[in-house]
Amino acid sequence: MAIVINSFAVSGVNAYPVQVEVMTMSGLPSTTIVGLGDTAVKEARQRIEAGITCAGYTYPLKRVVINLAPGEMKKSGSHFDLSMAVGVMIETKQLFPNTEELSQAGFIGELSLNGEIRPVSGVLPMVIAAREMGLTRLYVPAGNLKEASLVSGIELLAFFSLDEIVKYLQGTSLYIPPSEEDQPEEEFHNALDFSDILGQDVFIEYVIAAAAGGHNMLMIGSPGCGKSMIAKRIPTILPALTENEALEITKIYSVAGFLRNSTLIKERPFRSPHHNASTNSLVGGGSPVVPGEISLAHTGVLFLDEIAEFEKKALDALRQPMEDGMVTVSRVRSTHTFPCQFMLVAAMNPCPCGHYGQSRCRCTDYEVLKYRQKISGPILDRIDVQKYVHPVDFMSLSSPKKGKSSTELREQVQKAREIQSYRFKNNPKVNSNAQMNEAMIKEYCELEEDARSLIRQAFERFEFSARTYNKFLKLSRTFADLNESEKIRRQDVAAALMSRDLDKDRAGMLVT
Amino acid sequence: MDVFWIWLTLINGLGPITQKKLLDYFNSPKHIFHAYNSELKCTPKLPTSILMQIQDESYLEKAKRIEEETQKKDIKLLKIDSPEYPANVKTVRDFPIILYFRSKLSLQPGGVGIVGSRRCTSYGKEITLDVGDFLAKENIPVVSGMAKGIDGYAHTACIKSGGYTTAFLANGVDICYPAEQNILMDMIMENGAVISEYPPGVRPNPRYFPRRNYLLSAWINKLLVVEAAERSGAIITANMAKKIGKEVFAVPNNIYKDESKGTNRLIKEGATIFLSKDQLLSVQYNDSGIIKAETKSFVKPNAVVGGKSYRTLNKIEKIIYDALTTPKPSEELLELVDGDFGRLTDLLFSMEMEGFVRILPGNLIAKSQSRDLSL
Repeated sequence: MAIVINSFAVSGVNAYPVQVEVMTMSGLPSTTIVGLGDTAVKEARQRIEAGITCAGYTYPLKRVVINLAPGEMKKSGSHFDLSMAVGVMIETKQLFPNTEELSQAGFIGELSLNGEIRPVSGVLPMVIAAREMGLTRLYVPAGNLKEASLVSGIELLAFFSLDEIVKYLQGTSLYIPPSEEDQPEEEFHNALDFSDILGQDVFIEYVIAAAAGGHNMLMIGSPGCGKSMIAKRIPTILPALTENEALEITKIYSVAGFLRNSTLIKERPFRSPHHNASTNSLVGGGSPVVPGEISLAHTGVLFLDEIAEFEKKALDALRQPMEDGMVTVSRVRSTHTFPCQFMLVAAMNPCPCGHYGQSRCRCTDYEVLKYRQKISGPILDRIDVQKYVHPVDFMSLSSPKKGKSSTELREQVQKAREIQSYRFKNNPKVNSNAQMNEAMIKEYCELEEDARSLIRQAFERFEFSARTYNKFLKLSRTFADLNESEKIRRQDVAAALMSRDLDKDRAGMLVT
Repeated sequence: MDVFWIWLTLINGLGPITQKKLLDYFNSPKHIFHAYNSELKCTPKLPTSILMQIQDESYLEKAKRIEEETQKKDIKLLKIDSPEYPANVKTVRDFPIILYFRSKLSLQPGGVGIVGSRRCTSYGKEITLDVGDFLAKENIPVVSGMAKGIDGYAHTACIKSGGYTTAFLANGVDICYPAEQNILMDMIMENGAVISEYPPGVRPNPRYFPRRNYLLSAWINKLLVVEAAERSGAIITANMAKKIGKEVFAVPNNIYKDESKGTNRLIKEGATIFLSKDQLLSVQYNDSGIIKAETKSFVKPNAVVGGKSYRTLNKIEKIIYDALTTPKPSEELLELVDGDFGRLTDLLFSMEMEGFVRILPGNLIAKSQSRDLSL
């Protein structure tokens, strides 16, 4: 009879139960691991052999077969080590645990050659899976205890070494919880505040609107005008994470192996991949499949600096995930789905030299257009706010006057978000103005009379395309929400109309 | 027979002056081709080396190929004996006897040449745009060289305002150089013509450009140099135009900037300083005895002209307008309306739409010069 130990495998941001079956048979000493494991799983053979030996037990001189069921799903990771080692020890009669208790317990952990248990990634979804399948206790590496304790309703037993676990299972020693070192909570966002940004008051109004209405935004400006500085501060004005959101984002980071300080993520993430990022690093992929930057930016901000320098293919791959709020990485044997509801904040120079509109720029209209055409149209289409950031006069930088603080701005955003969540309470899929479809735009975007005439005049004057009409309405809805106005007023429309600097430039270009 | 015309221009060592001499003597290229050696020898001052060349059969073969090419590509010839050949270039001795062109030639010959640097500033661009638009509306052809920068803007502005424009090329008219202007070239052919001395298939060559500039300066009535560095094609064109006796206008500009050193020097050396667009009109009309009395103000391109939107500014708008002594970001105007963002955008947007202010690239708000605000 084979020994069966419960463990888990990760797929996407969720985990599913895996039965680790261990059996020894007579034959030449060998160890075989089956069940579509990747290299990390295959290499467990050497680790468990050394780990068991170093812990003072013996590894069987028999034919050992280890099966990870279900056998048709690909599995990856080093966290199966512990369950395999425990299985081998029970199978070789070096350990006699209570079988009933064993069927109610799960094991996660990587073994070192010295028999220590190392922390692994993806613990959070695995603990959730353990609770869901009805296990009562879970053995985890001591280094993962903090992360695992984010889930309640399951007994967690954390150990530093294989020997400790064996002794505990045999009842020869008691469980002593590892002492918690109280790490001071890092509050890394504290350093960043919108009050640092001076002389951009009008632009910040657009940032608020974008944050409040969930609109994506593009900042166009010469080098050093403060685009990155503004982008980095956007997470500080987004509303606080809800518990569910926090758990979701923590799960993603856990799977990606980025959860080093092992606590719940309470801040909205800010991700700024470099422009040489590959398609897979943006949307997710690799083997084993890991979430990409867009998923790591889930619930937060994805900042693409120098968006014109990104590979066209990589950018185009963002289109569908942006629409769906999730991304599915398909493999022949499996699909992995990661959530990715992020706010896209992009920045670019206005022209190849970066100083368009200033006296030192010598770029021709053709070159400027060519440069801007590097961003694909469909991506630009999904960016509602496209605004110039003007270079700041350095004299105003030294002025003692401070800008509005992030806390103030966040209150504004929060208020507008509340109006929106009330508006869309019957639509679970829509939670911000930016996500409105055409029917909703018709229903919710009522214009006052003089607002309507203004928008008509503007279209005649600036040759905006018809498809931008809905964008204007959505954005003006957000401006109206920020001012707590039921109907969309003239000034809301005017503000929205002034958010399309690129289109306006295009109309004025001297290129046929 | 066009082939003999082409043949005549291909002969090595035979320039337009000798070609014209031969034409005077024999009346047509065909006659020259069929002329007897003894007849040719009678032609005054024809060197014997050229005589040898004329008898070389391979030139006719080449001419035939070129003629085929022109027919295939719908390229036409402008011959010295055709009625469209402008009278003002007939008197220029070394102007070619044939020109290749595509599309149609304007009934109104000449026009105003606009030349300038390829890397121009926004100032140069603005003037070019403005003048191109103005000339188009005055029905004066705009002639330029289809290069990047000023040349391209001049053509485009003229076409956009429905005018007629001619481009002189330093390569065959079936080749687009620079390649980025291919759309512009198509547009020029729809609204004007591309002209070249060179037969189809000839690639651009640095040696050809001064000659192209020379032809351009001979073709036009007046030349406007918008921006030019001290050593540049635009200056070559200007000097040639001056030599032929064309009036040259140069736009005054910043004395420290490289792209204005050439134009400023032109002014110093006697070119007319360009201060208003009317200058491009009056002299031309002077020739036919009419002087344009009406002077037009310098209208900025994106200003709204017309009575309908003309109104006076209200008090707060006036305050904002007066604050714009230099282009300013909207942030600096915010305090004028007590920090009310909604109010400011509303005001600025209305003022922009009605042409009182312009929003420059980079979000700087500037006064629009078109409005004469008599408040």
